[in-house]
Amino acid sequence: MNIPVLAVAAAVLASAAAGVRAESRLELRNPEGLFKPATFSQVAVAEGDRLVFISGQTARDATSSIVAVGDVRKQAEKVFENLRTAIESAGGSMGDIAKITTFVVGLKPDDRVWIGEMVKKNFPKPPAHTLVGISALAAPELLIEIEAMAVLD
Amino acid sequence: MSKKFVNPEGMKPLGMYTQVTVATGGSIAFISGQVAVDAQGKVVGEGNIEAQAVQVFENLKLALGGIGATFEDVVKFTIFIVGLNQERRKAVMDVRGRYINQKNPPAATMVGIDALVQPELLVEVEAVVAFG
Repeated sequence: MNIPVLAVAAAVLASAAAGVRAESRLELRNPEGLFKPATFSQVAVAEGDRLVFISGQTARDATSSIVAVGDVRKQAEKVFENLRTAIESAGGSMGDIAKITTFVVGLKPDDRVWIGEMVKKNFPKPPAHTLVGISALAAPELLIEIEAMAVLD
Repeated sequence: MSKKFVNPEGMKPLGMYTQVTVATGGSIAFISGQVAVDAQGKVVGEGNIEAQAVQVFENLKLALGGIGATFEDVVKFTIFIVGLNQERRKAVMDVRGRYINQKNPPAATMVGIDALVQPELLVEVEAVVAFG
C-alpha cells in the first residue's frame, strides 16, 4: 500500500530537481468573426503572478554596436535573439510572451510576410501582435524595433 | 478583478481617457492591433476613417466577447493613426466614445504613424484587458 505514495513522492522530487517552476497559463485565441491570421493570434489571455515588460529591442549587440546596417531582415534576427536573452533573464521562454509590438521604418505591404514567417520561427505559437510603420527609430541605422509583454509564474 | 480609474492631482486628462488605471487579480488579455478588415480579412471603409474606426471597434467587441469580456474591462488602448491630424483624431475618438464607458474611460496612448500593413488602412487600435 505504500508503493503508490512513494511513487508520487518520487515524481514530486524529480520535478523539483528539474527546476520546474509554477506554470503561468497563456491561451492564444482567434475568436469567431475575426479573420484567422497564420502568423499572429488575435487575442492572448494570460494568468500568472508576474508581468514582464521587455523594452523595445533593436539590432544592437551586447556592446551596443549596431549589427547588419542596411539589412532589415538581418536586424530582425538580432532583435529576436535579444528578445530571447531578455525573456530568459526573467526566468521565462519565448512561449511565455503574450504580446509583441513591431515598429518598422518605412513599412511596406510585403514586410508583413517575412516578419510573420520570422515570428512563426521564433515562437512555439505566435503571440498577439501589433505591427506599425514609423518614420524613425532612436538611431538612423536602426530599421526595426520589437517590444514584448509576458506573464510568468 | 477590481479596477480603479485615477487622475492624480495635477494631471487633468486632455480628452476622454484616464491617466492611470489599476487592475488587481483575475486574468490579463492582450488584443492584437485591430484594423478595418472583416472576418475574411477584406478591407472595409477604404478612404473613410470613420467607417474604418467603426469596423475596428466592432472587431475589438468580437475579440472581447470571445473571452467573456466587455469594453468595461479594457484598461488601456493604444491608437495608431496614419497621418494623424485633428480631423482624424476626432473621427476616431467620436467612434470610440460610442463603445466605451465614458464615466471610466481606459488609459490611452495615441500615436501618429507613417503606414499600416496595407496602404488602405488608416487606423489600428490594440487593447489591454483585465477581467475575470
